[in-house]
Amino acid sequence: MRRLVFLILLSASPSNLFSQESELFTPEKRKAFADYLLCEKDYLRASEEYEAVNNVNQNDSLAYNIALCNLKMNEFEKAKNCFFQLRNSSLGEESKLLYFKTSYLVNQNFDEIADSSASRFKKEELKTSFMRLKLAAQIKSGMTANELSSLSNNFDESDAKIVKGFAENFAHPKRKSPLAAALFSAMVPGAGKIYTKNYGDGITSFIVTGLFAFLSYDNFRAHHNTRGWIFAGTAAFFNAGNIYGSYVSARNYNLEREEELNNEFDSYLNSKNYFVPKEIEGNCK
Amino acid sequence: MKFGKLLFLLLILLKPEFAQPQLEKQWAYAESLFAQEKYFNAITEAKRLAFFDTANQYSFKTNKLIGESYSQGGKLAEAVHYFTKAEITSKTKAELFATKIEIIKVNILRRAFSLVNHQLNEMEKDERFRTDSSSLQYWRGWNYLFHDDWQKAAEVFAKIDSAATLKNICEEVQKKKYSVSFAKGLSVVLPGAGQFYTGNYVSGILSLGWNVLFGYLTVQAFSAERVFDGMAIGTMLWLRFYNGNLTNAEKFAEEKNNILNNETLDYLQKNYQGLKP
Repeated sequence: MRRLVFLILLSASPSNLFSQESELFTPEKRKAFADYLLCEKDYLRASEEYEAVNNVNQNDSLAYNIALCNLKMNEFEKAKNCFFQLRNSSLGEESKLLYFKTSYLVNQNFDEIADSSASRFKKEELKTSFMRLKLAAQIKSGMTANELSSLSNNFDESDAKIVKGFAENFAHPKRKSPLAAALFSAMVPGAGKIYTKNYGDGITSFIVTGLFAFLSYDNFRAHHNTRGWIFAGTAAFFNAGNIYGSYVSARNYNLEREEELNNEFDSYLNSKNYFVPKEIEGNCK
Repeated sequence: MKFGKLLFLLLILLKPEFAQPQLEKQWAYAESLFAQEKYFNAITEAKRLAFFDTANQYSFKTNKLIGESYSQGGKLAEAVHYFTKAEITSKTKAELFATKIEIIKVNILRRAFSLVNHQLNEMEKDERFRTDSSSLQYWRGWNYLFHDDWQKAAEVFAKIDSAATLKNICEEVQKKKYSVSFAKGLSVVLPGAGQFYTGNYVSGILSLGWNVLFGYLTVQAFSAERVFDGMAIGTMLWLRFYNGNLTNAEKFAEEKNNILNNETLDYLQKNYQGLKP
């Protein structure tokens, strides 16, 4: 009886009940709070809480969650280092896959993924994810016809169709020749710009150059030779600018298409979470 | 043995009551961080309290404090999110009114003029806030003020006794403001005059000079029956400079007004002692 009363009183001692440290700031509660923050997408606070717990009780799961927070906050370098350190841990395979994803995101580093083999992964789901991420990296650097045909084996039917489309666009980008654009404009003012689908500029160039040429002709005909020469010089100046402008316009067109394609592909990969299973990036309901 | 069982049962039942001081302490801690302007930490501790407050006793307080901290930190979308949560968890009319006003204040800062107007209209129609019409008018004045409508802001503040200072400031700004249409109108009549009106004298002289020169060349070409030259110079040079002169006059007036608006808002932010968004 006395022992029972003593035990009860001990468990309910004021230091246990009223101390802040023992209640809301215990490692278990901090971990639970950090998990909640992670699911609430408050990654900075979640990361701080995980770090506080990890400083007391170090474990792989906490370090993995810290890396995840860094990844979600786009702190790619930090996340990459954290995942690299976890490569031989109990969460090694997940860390390796997320390391490659981060590596891809951090500086579009495709070589590291291309040089790695899927045999690093024992879990089938992660192996498939890695293969898809690797192919995505290869798509960006351009694929051969053989590599293109291998895409169907690694993706679902609907994804394979989309990915193939991207791969073909990367392998054979729709480009405009800057030299051809300059030549077209030399023949007909503004034609080079129209060739690069810069219609407004093309028409303006044609009208401005044509107008100055006509003014020059009109002044020469009326024997205003000085003005004729001034307008002829202006027309020649505008046309030279138009030829160079067409060359630049074609170059810009190519760069814009390249950027557009890259953005579209990145956006597609992002919508697919870079083929990484969402379950390994936090277990939130 | 019976006594022991009874004591054990008592302690189990009283456990939440023992936990209460913990939550109270945590609330005091979060509040103290807010008072020290450590808004990031205040949010963390308020969120921690909200997470462990399973009985939702602190829901209103924590959500409001988080909202206020986000608002102070300039994270206005997050602030509205938490004020809305506070509004849902409010228990009294005063709490409800306070959170609705906080949402309005944040929306004023976001310059969501129409939204604030709508929210204030809705509150004015609400029977529960019939006695708070003066407060609602006050925030309507601030809404006009942030919408750069100093005249209407002054009119609204004039109806509130305690807002005499704000009324005077608004009237002062309204007097100092340049009329954009007047600046443009002046430049229509005499190129460069609008720029003179806004104090941009060099630009005004240049504008006048270019327009006189190309106007003269155009007229001269037409008088010498060089119609094509006249049309080319008139449309490609004179008209271009004339249009530029109008755009310039409009732009200068708007720029000067923006500077005046921002300086006044900055002054109010730093020096006005009354309630402000």
